[in-house]
Amino acid sequence: MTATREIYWNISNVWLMYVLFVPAAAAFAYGFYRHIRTWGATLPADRHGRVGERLLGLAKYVFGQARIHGAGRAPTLRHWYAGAFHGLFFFGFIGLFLGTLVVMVHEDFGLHIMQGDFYLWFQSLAVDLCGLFAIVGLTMALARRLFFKPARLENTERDWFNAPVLLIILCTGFTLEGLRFAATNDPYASWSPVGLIASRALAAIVPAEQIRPLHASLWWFHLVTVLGLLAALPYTKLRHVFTAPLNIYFRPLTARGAVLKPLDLETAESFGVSKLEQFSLKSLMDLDACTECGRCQDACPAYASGKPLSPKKIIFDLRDLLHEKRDADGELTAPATVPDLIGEDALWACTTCMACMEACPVFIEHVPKIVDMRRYLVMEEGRFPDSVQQSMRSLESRGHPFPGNTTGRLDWTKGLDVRVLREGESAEYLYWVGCATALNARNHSTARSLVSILNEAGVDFGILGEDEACTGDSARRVGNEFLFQQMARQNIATLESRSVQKIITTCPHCLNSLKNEYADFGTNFEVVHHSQLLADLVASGRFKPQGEEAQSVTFHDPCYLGRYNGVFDEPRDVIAAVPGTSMIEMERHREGSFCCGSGGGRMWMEEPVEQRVSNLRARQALATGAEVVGVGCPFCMMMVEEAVNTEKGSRDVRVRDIAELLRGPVS
Amino acid sequence: MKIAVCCKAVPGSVTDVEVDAQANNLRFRSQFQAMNECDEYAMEEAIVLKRQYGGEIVALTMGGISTQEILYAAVAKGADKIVRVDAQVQDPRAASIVLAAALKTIGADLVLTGTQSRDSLSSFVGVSIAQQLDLAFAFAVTAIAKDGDHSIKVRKELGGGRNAEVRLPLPALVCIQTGIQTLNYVPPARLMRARATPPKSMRLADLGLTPEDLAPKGYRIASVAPPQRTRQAQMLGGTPQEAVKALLEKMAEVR
Repeated sequence: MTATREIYWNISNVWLMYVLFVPAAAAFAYGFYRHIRTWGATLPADRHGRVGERLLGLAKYVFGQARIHGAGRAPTLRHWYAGAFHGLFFFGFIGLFLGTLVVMVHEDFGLHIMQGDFYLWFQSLAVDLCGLFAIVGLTMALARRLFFKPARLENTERDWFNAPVLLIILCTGFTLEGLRFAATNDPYASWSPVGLIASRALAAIVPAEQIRPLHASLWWFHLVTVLGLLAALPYTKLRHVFTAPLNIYFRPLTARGAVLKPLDLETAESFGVSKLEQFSLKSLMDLDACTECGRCQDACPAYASGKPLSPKKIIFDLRDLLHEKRDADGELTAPATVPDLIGEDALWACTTCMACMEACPVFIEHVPKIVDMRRYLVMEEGRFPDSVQQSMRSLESRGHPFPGNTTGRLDWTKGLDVRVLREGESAEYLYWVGCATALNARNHSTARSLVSILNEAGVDFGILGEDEACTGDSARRVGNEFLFQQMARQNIATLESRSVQKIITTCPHCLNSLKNEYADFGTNFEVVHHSQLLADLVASGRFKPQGEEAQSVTFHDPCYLGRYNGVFDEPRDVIAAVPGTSMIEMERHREGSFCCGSGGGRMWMEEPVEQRVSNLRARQALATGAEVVGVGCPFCMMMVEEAVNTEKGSRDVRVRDIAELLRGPVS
Repeated sequence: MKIAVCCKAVPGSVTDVEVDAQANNLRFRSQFQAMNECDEYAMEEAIVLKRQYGGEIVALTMGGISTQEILYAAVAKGADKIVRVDAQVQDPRAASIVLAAALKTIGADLVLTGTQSRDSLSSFVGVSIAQQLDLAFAFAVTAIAKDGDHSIKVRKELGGGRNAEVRLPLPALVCIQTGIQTLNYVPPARLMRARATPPKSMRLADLGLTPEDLAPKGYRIASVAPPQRTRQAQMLGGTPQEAVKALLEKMAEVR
């Protein structure tokens, strides 16, 4: 006799099951139809195509759960407990679902697969264990919410629905199996160990004559609960079972630094986002993909420093508005504009550091939404902080964002051999100095160190001198797309007049604009950060490091170098090449790095002392005990050095650019 | 009230300047052209006055086609009409003759200008226009209010922290002191939409002017040169008493 079991044992009127399925499926389909309809129709062009890469993403981030457990990522992005329980019930339910499919194929399609070894190994043993995994996983999740809830999670009524209902389904499932074993003496019961234990326990407490009636009524209860959950799925955050994979599929495949797309200034009727429907389809899909895990909030430097911004809350608020709009069939009662709903203070608190997007397991894009709303405030309304207005005026009239600056762009070159390229002249590399390096006295030594290394290594390079202007990075981040495009076009013309192909930058912000953002205006520059070139020069032996004496160094990853452009190793290679240095990492490093507080136009906004992101970062750096804090960005230099000096007390801690570390002081 | 605002397009940065020895002129290297900041305050005040009393604002500039950009900025800020006189004039006296002629065709009740331009710093144009058009005049004004139908009351700075309140009959010309209003950032969307407003363009001939009218009269520019560093500054060291003694000796020498 082949191993199998009787389907619908002890159940009569099975046809009723099919009848009950219809309304549940209808509620399920209608729920998702409403979501999809409110997302609108405008999927950005860069989210089409590259199907293979997108499917691989599903494999990695859905089935591999890569961003849920975060194995192999920076320490602050690893979540072994949540990763374990999510993995347990994710794969558990996949097994149970497959088990149900097997029943359907066997019974409804008449394809008799549920027998023999397959029945024993898969349908009995594997599915039984899957049920056990799911129970363990859900219990771990509930225990976390009950006894050791991280602050980023909120417990609302909604959160007491999904896990308990799923547990009820699992427990009634095992009870049903146990009752059947107890009544039938199934010869294959030992292949279902959990069901077997249940049957022993049930046999001890349930009188034999009540087993069959109890089984029948529990079976219908189990069925109705399953169908109820199916119907409720689109209306609870369990919808992420479908929306998260969709969101992962349509994730941006460009470099992180290229996620802001140019506005068409000539044809657009309005700029930025003031109304929900002006967001793109992917932007609104984001809102329904959110699982409320709160990791974005934990990663956010603005939130950590007590500012009125939480990326999680932005997503919640926009989602609630989206659902209100959906429920009211397109009519919105609440506030006039989306930026007003989120609040200007929250929108201006963002440093655009991308820590939230790096932390999100389902690829929600917080920063482009914030910039979209800033675009509306700046481009349409002229509503933004006074100090930033000063910077923008300076950018317009003087080509750099430092109002009141009196330093010349060539002041740092005094006594050094630096060639200024005039129109028509060219060199192998253009060193794009950047306003923050050229115009801030502290950063002059970074440029001087770099240039002296380049000269010693015999690198052919030149600079633009007075013809260099701001790349427009901070104009774009604060939402002034008009000014950004103006700066971009002007700089591209300047660069093309020197036939520039390869560019070195000391500023990761310049790097990002020149490399990722100017490409949208038809350029194809090969842009490297000085850490990349220096690592090369050291590795190839073209530069022999001299450097300072023995010292311990910690490295502060600049957001626009690390998270934006994936450059993590080269600055560390450069530091390691300096004789006598030892490296100590901060807890938040590499893609988990914590912003210095100056990105996204924050450089030009007032920050009360107790809310300074830079002071938090300085404390993290000082906690390593390192004698030197290495940086690779002129903005980080200004912020971190000031903060380290404020926080270090009597300790002797220096802040150095990697070029300074490698070269040692240049007189 | 019809308000005309004279605004000048100036180089974004004036620190990077060369002397053009042939033309006896200054040449700025800055690639940016912006509305002269002092004139922006005049523009900002005109908007406040319009909001208060109604009327229209005409923004007037002089220069090549590229200076049109600042007129669009004026529209974005709130100007109703824009006028450009197509003439390249650097001499302040000549500029005032051209602007006065243009203002005569505009016929404003009140003319506002800044106190000086960032590039030539002469503070000449405002007063010269007022004199040519025989307008009541006040300089470095920090507040304007209407006083009856045909006059305004202004507060003007006298220097040394003192002010005077003056009544001016209309039509009048007022040079606006910086800081009279806070400058508002022009939202780029409005700037782009402003390009739909066509500027009225006038040539010198339309104003009945010939190049001879603009030639310097009674003076000529002999040469233009950067200031010479003479390195004659001396630092007086020692105690305050010694420094004072040394200073008095120097003063006696000079006398």
